[in-house]
Amino acid sequence: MREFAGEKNILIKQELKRIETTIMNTITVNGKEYPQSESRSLMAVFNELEITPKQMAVELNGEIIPRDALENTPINAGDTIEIIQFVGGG
Amino acid sequence: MKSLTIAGRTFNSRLFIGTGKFGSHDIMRQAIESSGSELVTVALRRVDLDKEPENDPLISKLDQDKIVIVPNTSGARTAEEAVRIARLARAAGGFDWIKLELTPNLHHLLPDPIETLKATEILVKEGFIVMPYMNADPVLAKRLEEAGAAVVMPLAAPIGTNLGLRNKDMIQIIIDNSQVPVVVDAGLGMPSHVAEAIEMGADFVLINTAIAAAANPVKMANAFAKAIAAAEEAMEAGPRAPQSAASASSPLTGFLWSK
Repeated sequence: MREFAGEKNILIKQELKRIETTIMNTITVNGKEYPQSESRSLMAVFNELEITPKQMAVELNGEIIPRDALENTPINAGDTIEIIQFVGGG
Repeated sequence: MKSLTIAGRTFNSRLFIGTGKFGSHDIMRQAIESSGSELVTVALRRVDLDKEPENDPLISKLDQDKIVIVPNTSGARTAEEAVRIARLARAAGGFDWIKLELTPNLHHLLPDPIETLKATEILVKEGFIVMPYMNADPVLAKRLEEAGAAVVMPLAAPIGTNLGLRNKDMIQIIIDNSQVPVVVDAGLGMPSHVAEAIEMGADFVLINTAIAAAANPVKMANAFAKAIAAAEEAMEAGPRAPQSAASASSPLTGFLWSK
């Protein structure tokens, strides 16, 4: 795979972030940190953010989570969640 | 003319529309509906958590019984990133059509041919209907076709430039040799550009900026649709081939030169 400038640095930063957020007991959703106070599901995160996961894709630590698995997917401190939606594009 | 079918789906319009840059979802929907376009592209982006959650997502504005929605991989620079986007699109909306857009250089936004071919090979194996955006390279078009691309999408000019058919000669070679439908994409700015592409034998054209960034996008979408209709009708009418010498349209015989 071709490497782009700074790609290795990005991976190191991601790993540091994971360690930091685990210690700080937070999770990262779309680049923003949120407290991880109690054990909960991925669906609970959506509810807290007031987002309906319709026509959206979810990645947990880089793995796609099917919509029907959101309820049964537990979230832990240090996790990184990406929530993706469709926008206009050519 | 080749039938207007891609991956078993028949289209009644040769116009594909990109949904970027529209002032509102409603204007976008009106432009698509009034032009008769049956395929539109969309992009994938991170949900912005700093904004109010959008309860009226783009996709809900599109009638999926009539319109094929094709997510694109814009923003991807490598095959790996494009494959990730394609899988996300499938997870998000169940979409199996994917427009590959692999543009490592943000200045010219020209597609990376090697990464595009790699991504095509991977996604075809995963059952996607792959529509690769590509430079107007006839050899690459063949390679993409052999890799299982459903269409090839040579660019007329760099994205968003409205420059028209700058790669005309190469696109003609692609059209003449392609076994899959040819979609002329990117850089088409005016209805005359589109008419020329259809007259050259292109199967489809994809327009985004020229419609979305017009002062009146709905009117512009209609103008593009009319240009396509005119070019189609002309091709059905059997145009006479260009000649190198003059041939009079009016009778030259008569009284002027008679003795």
